[in-house]
Amino acid sequence: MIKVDNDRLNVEILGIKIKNPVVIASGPAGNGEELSSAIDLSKIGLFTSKTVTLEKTDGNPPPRIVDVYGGIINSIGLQNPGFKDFMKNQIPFLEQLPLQTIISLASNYLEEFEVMVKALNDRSIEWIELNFSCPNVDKGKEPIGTNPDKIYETVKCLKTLTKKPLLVKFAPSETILELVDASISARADGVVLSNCPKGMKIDIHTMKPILKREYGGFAGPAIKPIALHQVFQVRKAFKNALIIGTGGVINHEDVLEYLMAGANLVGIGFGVMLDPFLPIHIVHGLSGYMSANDLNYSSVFCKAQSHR
Amino acid sequence: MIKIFLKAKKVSEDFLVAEFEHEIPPAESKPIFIKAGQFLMLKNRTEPILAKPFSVLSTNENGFSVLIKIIGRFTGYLSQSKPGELFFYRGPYGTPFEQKLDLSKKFITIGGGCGAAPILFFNKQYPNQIEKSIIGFKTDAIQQLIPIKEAVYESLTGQTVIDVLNDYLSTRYNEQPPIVLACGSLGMCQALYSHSKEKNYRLFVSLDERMGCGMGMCKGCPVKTKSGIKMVCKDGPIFDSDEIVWEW
Repeated sequence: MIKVDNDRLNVEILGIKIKNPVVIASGPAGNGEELSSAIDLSKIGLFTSKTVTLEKTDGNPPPRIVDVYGGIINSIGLQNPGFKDFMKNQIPFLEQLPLQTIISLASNYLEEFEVMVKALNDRSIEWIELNFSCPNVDKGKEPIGTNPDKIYETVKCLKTLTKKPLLVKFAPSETILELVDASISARADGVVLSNCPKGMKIDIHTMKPILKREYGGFAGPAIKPIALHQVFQVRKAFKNALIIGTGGVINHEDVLEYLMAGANLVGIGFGVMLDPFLPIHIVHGLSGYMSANDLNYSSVFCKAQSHR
Repeated sequence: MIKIFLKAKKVSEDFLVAEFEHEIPPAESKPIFIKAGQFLMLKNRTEPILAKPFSVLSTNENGFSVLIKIIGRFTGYLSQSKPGELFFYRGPYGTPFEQKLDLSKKFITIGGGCGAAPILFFNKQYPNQIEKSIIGFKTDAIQQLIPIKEAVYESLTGQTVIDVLNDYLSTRYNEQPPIVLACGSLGMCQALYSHSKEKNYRLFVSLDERMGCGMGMCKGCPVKTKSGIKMVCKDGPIFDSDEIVWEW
């Protein structure tokens, strides 16, 4: 049995104590039912629900997952039973998980977010993530997450409806600083960087895209340098912002890189699909690294920002 | 994931039979408890590519063997691997066939290509429930890997498994309406579904789909059914063909 040195991994964010900086990211781990039967979730920092939408979403037709070098292209399409069913059948399970939970919400409409955020006030979940960046849905008008004015308007309004910390999740973007600025100016409590960038694969025999929607979300180790740079950039510009860094994490070294770049917490998405036991291995690896080098969370956090 | 070592492999054209064993001595090992219809997620040691689902062909006191069609990066890698090489697996996952079938009945079992593996495993686990079994391959290359007495080879006879089933049904005398359990390509399953409507038999199919986690959490392997979207890995792989919405 590997002993985890929790004292070296403890994090305190927004006055909330968290066991360690490892977060199960939204999506690949569903709502924790299957994962909690495989691993002890009390050893993990935070758990993020699968993104839920106001109305039921069937998701995309198969194939939904295609292997590519460095990861996968996924086209799940936010399959979920809808917010009403989620509140009735999924939230009770999430509430009794032995760790703090982030509920991930998506919509292209402020009104839908309002309904969901208000309804969560009565539940004992701790955090809310606004997924402004799912690459696999195109219902409705222009997505909120690429327009700073809409981001500002949405976050500002939702902040008046809840006391729970509100996080905003973005895909990698050349304009990420503007998007984060809009979020923080509207009093978002933090940002999640990054969702999957879009990608595609073509079958050279049929000469057609493999995915029916042509493209999907590119996940896996190949996107880590991109997401890491987004975290680094945002940390440099926003010294006090809460950042959850995520993208391509498959070992504890990846987590350390994100922490050193300036992420307060680090999400694992693809890695859970790769191996459901990975989050536990990563916590053990982090603990081992800290002990072996006589370091703790504070002594690695943001350290790469002051390299010159 | 659990460590497992490649013990032996045989390759013939695009098929591969690979035998795996645990590193611990057989005396201390526990056999893998897996039922027909369930599968294991298998991955290699180095590359960060998702584990792939494989039905087992057989199990023994210290491991299992699989029948695989060489079609992708993992199966290509496996076909080039040498005995002693380390792999990892987890599972078993999936709903056993027995949970969805009435085992007081007898079944006509059909396997196509590497879909033969779960059918042969089912035949072995429930020999008294098999009315007839038809295992079809495009060519007879599989004969160099494993003996399959129920095998039919399209390249030799010109007959597909559906042709053979059709011949059998036309001469069948049995008071019980036929029930077919099939595993093979989506094309084979769809063709069997059409045939089942024409010949009026009940059909269960074990579906194959690209999977992510294999446990039902990632929602990566959907099948559209009359009662909503289900996951092949967790709700299946076996489905009543009448439940499936084939066009999506």
